[in-house]
Amino acid sequence: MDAEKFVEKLYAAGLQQKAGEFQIDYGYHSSFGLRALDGKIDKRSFTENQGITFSVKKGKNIGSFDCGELEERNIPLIIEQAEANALLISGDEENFFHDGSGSYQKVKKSAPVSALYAKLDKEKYVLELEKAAYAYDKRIKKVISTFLGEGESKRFMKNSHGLDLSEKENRAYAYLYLSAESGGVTRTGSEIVFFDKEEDFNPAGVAAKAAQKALDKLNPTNIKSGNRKIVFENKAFADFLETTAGIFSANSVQEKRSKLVGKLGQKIASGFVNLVDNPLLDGGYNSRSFDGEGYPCRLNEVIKDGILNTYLYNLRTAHKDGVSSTGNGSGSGNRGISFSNFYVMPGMLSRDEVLAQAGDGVYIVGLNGMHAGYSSVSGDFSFGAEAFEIKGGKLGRALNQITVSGNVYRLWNEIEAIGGDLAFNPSAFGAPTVFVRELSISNE
Amino acid sequence: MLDRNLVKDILNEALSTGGDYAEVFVENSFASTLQTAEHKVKQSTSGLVFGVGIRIFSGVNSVYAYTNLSDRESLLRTAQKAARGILAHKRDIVFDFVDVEIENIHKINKKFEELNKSDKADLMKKISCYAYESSPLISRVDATYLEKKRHTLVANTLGVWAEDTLFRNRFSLSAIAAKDNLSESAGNNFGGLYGLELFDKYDHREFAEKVAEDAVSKLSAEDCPSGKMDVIIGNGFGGVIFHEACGHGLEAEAVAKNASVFAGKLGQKVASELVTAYDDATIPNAWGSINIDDEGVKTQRKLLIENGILKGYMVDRLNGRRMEMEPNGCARRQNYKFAPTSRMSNTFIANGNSTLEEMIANTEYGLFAQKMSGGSVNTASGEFNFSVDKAFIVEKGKIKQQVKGAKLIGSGIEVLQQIDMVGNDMDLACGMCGASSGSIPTTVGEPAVRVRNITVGGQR
Repeated sequence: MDAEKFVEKLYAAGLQQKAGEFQIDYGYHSSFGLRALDGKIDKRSFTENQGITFSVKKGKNIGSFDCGELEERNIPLIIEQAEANALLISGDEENFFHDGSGSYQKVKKSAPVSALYAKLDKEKYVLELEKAAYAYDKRIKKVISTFLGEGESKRFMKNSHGLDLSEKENRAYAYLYLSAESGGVTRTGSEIVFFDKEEDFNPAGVAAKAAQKALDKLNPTNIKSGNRKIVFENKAFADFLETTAGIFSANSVQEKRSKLVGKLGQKIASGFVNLVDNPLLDGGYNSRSFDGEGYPCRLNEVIKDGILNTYLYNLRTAHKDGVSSTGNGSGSGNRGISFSNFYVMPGMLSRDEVLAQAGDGVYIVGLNGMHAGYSSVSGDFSFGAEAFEIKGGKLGRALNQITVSGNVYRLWNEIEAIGGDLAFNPSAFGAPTVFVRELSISNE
Repeated sequence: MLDRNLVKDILNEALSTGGDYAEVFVENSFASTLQTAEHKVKQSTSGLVFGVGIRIFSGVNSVYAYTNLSDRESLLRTAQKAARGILAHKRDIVFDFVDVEIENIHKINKKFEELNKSDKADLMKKISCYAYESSPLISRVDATYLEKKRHTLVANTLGVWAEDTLFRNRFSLSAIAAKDNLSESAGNNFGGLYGLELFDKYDHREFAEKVAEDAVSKLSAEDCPSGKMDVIIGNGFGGVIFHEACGHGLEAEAVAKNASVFAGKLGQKVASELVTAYDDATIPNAWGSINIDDEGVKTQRKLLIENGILKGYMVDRLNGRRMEMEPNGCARRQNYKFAPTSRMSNTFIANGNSTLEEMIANTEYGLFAQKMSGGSVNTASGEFNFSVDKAFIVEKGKIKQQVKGAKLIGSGIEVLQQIDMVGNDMDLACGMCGASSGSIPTTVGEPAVRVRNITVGGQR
C-alpha cells in the first residue's frame, strides 16, 4: 500500500494503543547501476525498497520492530512485537525519544555536481573507464570491476513527542578495481569517485589513478621483520581510524570495551593531535543536521591538542553521564553510536616532508583483515598491510605483504608528525598522512 | 508468497525485450535477536523482511532489479524497468511451472515458539552466569541469540517453481577478563539449521567456562614474535585458512572473470597431495547448509581438490555461462536486495592420517594456532591474512608459552603447497562470509594441519 497512507494508519494505531511514547522511522531507497566487462555493459541493476521501524517506550526501555512489507494487515503485528521487545528489555539506563527541540543547522551533503552529472553519458563513461585502464600500461592484466551507481534516499521520523524530521540524499559513484602483473607477481589497485569534483568526470584520469596504484606495487622486495618507523598514507590511516573509532563511543566506554574510561581531560595523544567529529562539514560524505535519534548535530572536538575532550554520546549514554547528547545517536532500532565525518585535523607538512622526517621506515598504503585483527578491549591490533620502504627520507620499493602490529592506545601518543593532506575514505572517516614512531612489522 | 499467474506475468514482462532467461526470487523472512549482558536483557529486536528480486539474462549480460512494493502494478513496473536493460530480439519462450520437490534434510525438533522470548533470555543469562562464576577476573559477559525463519520462492523461465523454508539459529558468548590495567576478551558460538534443540547439543557450563578461560589466559599471554615459522593450525575454525586462501578463489564469480589465481587450473596440482577439500551444502543441520540454492538448483557435495589436484569450482548460473559449466547449486545471497552468485556453504579440508600430538612432537620451532579468528583474501593476487585468537609457541616438540596478537599472511597457492601434515580430527565451525551477494552464513572446517614456513606477525 501507499507508504504515506500506511504510516498515517500506523501512527493512528500507535495513538490508539495508549502505548504512550512511540516513534516511526521511514526509509526509502532507489538505485541504478551499470557494470562494464570486456568492452560491454554486462550488468545492470534497478532497485527500489522501503521500510519502517516502529519503536515504543515501556518503562525506561525502547523496543522496536522493523517491517519491510508495508501492508495494513501487518500493523497489529508491528505494534505487538515492538511492545513485547520493549517489555523484555531490562536495562537500568533510561532511553529517550527526542522532542525536536534545539537548533538544527543547515548542512550541504556531498552530492554529484548536478550540471555535469545531468549531461553524463553513463554507459560511455564506464566503458571508457575500463578501456582507459587497459590502455594505461601493458602490465594491466585484468580490469576486474568497473561500476557506476547512483542512488536516492529519503527518510523521515515522527514521534509522539512532536518530532517531525525528514531528509533526502542523492549519491553517484564510479568504482574501478584492476590487477597488474609483472614477473609472476599480481597486484591490485582501485579508485572510487563520487562525481562531486570536476576531475571525477574524466574517466582516463580516474583509470590512471587506479592503474598507477597497482603498478607501483609490482617488483616487490622484502624487509627484515622488526620494529620500524611507520608512515600511514592518509586514506590508510582513515581506514585505521574507522576500525578503531569505537573506543571514542560513550557506549563502549560505559560497557568497559574501551580503555578510555576515566580519561576525560587527560592527555591521550601527542600534543599536536586534534580529532573531530564534524557533521557540519561542507560537502562531507556524512554531513547531517540531525542524528539517527533526530537530535540536532554539532561539531565535537574529541581530542583537542592531545587531550581527550569528550566521548561521543547518544541520548541514553548522555543521560547516564549527566551530559547532553553530542548528536551521535544511531538508528532507531539498535540505538547505538554513529559517527558523522570523523577525522584527524590536518597539519602543515606535505606528505614528502613527513617522509623526509621519518628518514628510514615503512610507508603503509593499505590495511587488510582489520575486523579480525583488532581487539578494542586491549587495543592490540595486527593487520595485513600493503607497504613501501622509506629510505633516506624518500619512498623506495614496494614490499611483499607485511603485517603491522601495535596498540591503538599507545599509537595515539606515539604520533610524531601529521601531514596537511586530509583525505576521506568512502565512509566518512578521514586523515592526513600520519607518522608513528614505532610499530612492529613482519615480512621476512 | 505471490500468485503463480502474477509470477508468470512478471517473467513474461521481463522477457519482453529479448532476454533468454528470467527469474523471480521472493523472500519472506522473520528474524529475532536477543542480547544479554550483566545479567540483564540489553536488546531485543525483531523484523520482517519481504521483497522480490527479478533477474534477466541475455547471453552473459544480466539485469537485476528488486522491489518490496508488493502490488501487481509495482512488480510489473519493476520487471519492465529491468527489461529495458536488455536490447535483443524478442524470442518465443514458453514455459509452465513444475514444482521442484524439495526434501528438507534439516529436521527441526523444537520449534522457536516453544519457548517465549523471556525464557530464552533466562537461558542466556544462565549460560552467562557459568562464565562469571568460573573466574573472579571475568568483568563482563555478553550473550547474543538470533533466530531466523527464511521462506523463499525461486521461479524461472525454465519452469522451475521452488519454495523452501529454512530455520537457522546461533548463540554467541563473549567474556572480558580484567586484571590490573590489562583487559582481554574471548568468545565462542554454536549454531545451525536447528530449532531450540540447538541448546541441547552443548554442555552449557563447559562451553561458558571455556570462553571465560580463553579470556583469562590471554591476560598472561606474551606478545607474539614476528618472522617466518612453521605453523600448526588447529581444527574447526582453523578452516578459515582454506576458506580465505583457497575457497574464494574457487568461486565462479572470481574464476569466470579470470580474476582468480585458480582460473584455468582444473586438473593441475594446486596443493600438497595431502589436501582433499569439499564444499558440501548437504550436511544435515549444518550452519552453512541449504536445501536448494537461490537460483532454484538443488544443492550438492562438491569435490574441490582431491589429493592436491584441482577438481572443481563452485558455479552459479550466470558465471557458468561464461565458463561453459553447469551450475552446481551454490548460488546464494544475503537477501532479495542482492543478485545471487557462487558462494561457499560448508567448506572443509577432509581428514588425513596424522594426529595433533605428532605434529607438535615433530615441530622444532613454530606456532600452534589453536583458535583462529577471521581473515580476508585478495583473490586476484592470492594474498591472504588472518588473525589468531589463541596461540602457543612450540619449541623442540613441546607446547610452550601462550602468545597473543598473531597474524598469518601469505599467498593461497603457496600455503596449500606447504601443508606437510594433515590431522584426523576434522571439525566444523560457524562463520559469516561477506562478498558481492552480501553476508551469508558459512561453515569452515578442517582437521589440524601443519604448514611450513608462514610469515607470522606480532608485536614482538
